[in-house]
Amino acid sequence: MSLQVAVVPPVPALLSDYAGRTDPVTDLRAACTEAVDWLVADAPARVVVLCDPPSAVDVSRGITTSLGERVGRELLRSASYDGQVEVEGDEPTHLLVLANGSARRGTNAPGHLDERAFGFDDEVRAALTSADPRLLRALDAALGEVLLATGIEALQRASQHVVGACAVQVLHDADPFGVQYWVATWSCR
Amino acid sequence: MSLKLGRHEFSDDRTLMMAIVNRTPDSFYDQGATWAEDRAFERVEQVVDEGAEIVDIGGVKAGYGEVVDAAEEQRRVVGFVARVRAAYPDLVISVDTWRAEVARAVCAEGADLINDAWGGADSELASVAAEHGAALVCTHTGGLSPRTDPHRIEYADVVADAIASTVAQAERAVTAGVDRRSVVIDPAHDFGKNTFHSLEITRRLDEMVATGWPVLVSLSNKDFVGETIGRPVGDRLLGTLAATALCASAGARIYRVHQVAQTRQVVDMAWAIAGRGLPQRAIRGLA
Repeated sequence: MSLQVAVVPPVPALLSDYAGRTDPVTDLRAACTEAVDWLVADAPARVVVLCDPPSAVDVSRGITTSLGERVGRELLRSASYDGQVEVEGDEPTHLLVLANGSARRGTNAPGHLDERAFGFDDEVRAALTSADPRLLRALDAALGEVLLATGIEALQRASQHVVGACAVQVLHDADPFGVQYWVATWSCR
Repeated sequence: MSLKLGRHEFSDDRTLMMAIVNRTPDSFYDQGATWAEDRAFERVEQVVDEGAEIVDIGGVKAGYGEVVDAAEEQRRVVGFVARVRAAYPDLVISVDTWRAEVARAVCAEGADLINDAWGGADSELASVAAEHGAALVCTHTGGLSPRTDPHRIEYADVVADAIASTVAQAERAVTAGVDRRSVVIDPAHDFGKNTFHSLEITRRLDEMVATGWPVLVSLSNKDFVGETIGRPVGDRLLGTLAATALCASAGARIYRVHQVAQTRQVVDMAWAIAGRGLPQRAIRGLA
């Protein structure tokens, strides 16, 4: 069974709730749009979303839907997808994974500078741009959490469904605000 | 309902800066700084650069002063309107006049909006606006004649009086043929009002907004600001901007101003706080 995967970052600035008069993430948004359009181009009956769950702090504040799920659902709506959207579903054929690298990539980054961010992100980049399950499973999710990376475990869960070779396309690779973003697609046999 | 000012249309979420351009030798704030036509034109250039959507050209000082008859008023403004129209086809041109014959002449030269600052003193004015497809500002003056000051004027409820007067003028204008989208109401701070009246109008401006007619406020450097903060003309900007913020929070749409750039920032900020406008660009905490 083939598997189509789109990886996008769960960036709140992508949400219409946080729109300003000018868009601070135009390039990222364009790449996300291209990736999600590609994901639903064959009108799948179901898209499975993989993302981090709400944190304990978020839950204590009354947040029950994770940022990743919100961003994922909004991107799918923007792509005019009207099929089923399921979070963490079994036997996926179409996966939307919400993940990004470290948010500690500079003194103006949200988490300030942590030099470990660059090596960590290089490892994520290598795993993500090869769709290699072995590299994905080897990522240090605990270090990722320290570095304010998001969705690393979601990427690892995605890797469980990859059985054959994947054609990978990287649509976006940038850290404009000290946060490492990737947008990529995997088309796996 | 969108706002139609002559040949220009603006959506409901827009606020508009109306920059004052005096072709007078004696207006209270600028004391004739733009009396010469070229100086007035430079003022237009400046306020357009600052983002004003409207210029409000006036040829007669609002308060007491030398007599300016209709012929002299036309001499001051009609040719100037034509010059501005030719140079700025996308700019809304308003003319501050209460006289129908002046309004007719400026509309023929391309004015989009008649700012009837004296509350329907000339009953023909609305018909002239209608004839030319121009918009009309209906103001509350408490029944004062043009170019007179209030003296011991009292209201049981100044806001109710302002609403009744301006809404009645607005309905009469529509009956006279002015497009309903082209009628604006203005409580007219200081006109027929003491400082306490103008403060109450400011405090309760939401009641005027609730009428559904778009509201214009003309607060800029006025005496009610000066008396409230104890500052002379020339030192009233902060007080003006404080009043502006409250009017923007209440939902005023058009701001008649001397200082365009500063007012634009305050209105955008208050409009966004009120949930009517968006931040210019938001990324803090959202990356």
